[in-house]
Amino acid sequence: MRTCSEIGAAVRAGRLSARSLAEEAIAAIRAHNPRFNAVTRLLEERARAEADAVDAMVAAGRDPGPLAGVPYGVKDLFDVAGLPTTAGAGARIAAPPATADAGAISRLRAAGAVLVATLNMDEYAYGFATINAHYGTTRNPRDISRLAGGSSGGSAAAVAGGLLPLALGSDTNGSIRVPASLTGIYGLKPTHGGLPMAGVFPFVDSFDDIGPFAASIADLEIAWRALGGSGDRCSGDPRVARLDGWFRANSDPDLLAGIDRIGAAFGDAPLVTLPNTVKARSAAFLMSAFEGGHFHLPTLRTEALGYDPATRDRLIAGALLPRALYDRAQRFQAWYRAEADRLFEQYDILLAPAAPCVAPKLDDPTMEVDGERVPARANLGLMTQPLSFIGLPVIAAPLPRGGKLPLGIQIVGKPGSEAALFAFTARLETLGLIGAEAPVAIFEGELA
Amino acid sequence: MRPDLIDERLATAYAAEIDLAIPPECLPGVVSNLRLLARHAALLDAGA
Repeated sequence: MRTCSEIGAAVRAGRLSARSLAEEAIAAIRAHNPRFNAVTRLLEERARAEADAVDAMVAAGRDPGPLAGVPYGVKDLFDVAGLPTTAGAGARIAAPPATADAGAISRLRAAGAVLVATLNMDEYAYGFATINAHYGTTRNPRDISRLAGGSSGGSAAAVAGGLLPLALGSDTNGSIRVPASLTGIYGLKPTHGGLPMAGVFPFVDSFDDIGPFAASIADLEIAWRALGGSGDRCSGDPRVARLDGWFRANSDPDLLAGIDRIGAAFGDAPLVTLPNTVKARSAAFLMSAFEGGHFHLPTLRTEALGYDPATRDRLIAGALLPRALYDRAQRFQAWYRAEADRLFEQYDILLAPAAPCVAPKLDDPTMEVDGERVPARANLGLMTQPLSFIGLPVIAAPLPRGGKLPLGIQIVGKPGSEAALFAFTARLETLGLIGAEAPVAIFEGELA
Repeated sequence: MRPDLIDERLATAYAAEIDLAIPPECLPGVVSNLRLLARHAALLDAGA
């Protein structure tokens, strides 16, 4: 598959047309999406119109931007002008159409990218599995007998499956980092509030963020900057530490070995502890349930049976939580954030597993935690929830696996440190300590 | 919220306080999820 930077350069130079790329992506999705079920809506007319506009700019001697002609898709919770925003809910198929594009889509369009498809997700983003009662389950392109993860599973599968070189998702408790990890690609959860949320269907305001998926760290950074991210890459060796305790329990040994190899390459990075992470995970769980439940409460009162049963029952339970419990979780959030701030006085980068295991099987969507089998849908975010709980920026990056099922790590920085995270992750990629295997070869066809 | 005390009757009573009538077919799933949340509440409050 061509990278976003290669596509952008070729289109800007007039060596490739955006229209041909859009047609190629449409054909790839038509032919191969049934294997993965990543795409919910193919936006052919819109893609052709956007691609033609890019080509017209090139023909007129104007620069369409760094993502010129790059086909991409968005999780089904971004507003797309003229379409209902389903948020993965069958009940919203007849919702009023969005009157404008989400802010993130406007920014990618301004950078020359071409929107081709909307992508599958857990209903209302409440899950880590992309098992959707209405749109079906998204399968993992690395092994279609396994989950792609969620809730942005369609976005991850579209990139890992080679349908598209770029996709947008959202991450509340790990919904970018978990599917990126299970499908072996890169994903960014930015600092909370760091990228535009306008026109994104909400789940939990306290934690919701959007971010890109890509098959290389360079592509991920180009997309982040096109979305509005900024900052100078710093030089020199960052102070690196490995998160211990909660973050090393229940993790695949290969994950820990991969993190330890990185630690060894950066001055024997010490093991450090974020105290009370078990409470942080529980507090994130409770705040998500409470906020999500209360957001949906008016609809649950009148149309509860229109929901996916698995989502509905979780949302109703969340709505029943007492406010005082939510307030306690918020107070703990402030304490935990202060502990993280203290750690970042000593270290610039923290390393942790992303999903704790390889992708669970479709026919047994469970995982092992503390010796017990538990549902993957609610638990794959074990390692991601405590970090989004305090709004930290995180890059999910794949470990080199030599053909084995993907495992990914979290590269964590203090708020606003995305540029430093990109610089560090690029170094790891150059050193061969991380790196995505090539997406399942589809989006290259005759034009490659 | 003690997980072992949560049952359909209690969930229904909580729901009535927020003007929500839980459809009968949802009650087993709601109770199961509420017990899970109660366990998380216990973890949050442990040692507090």
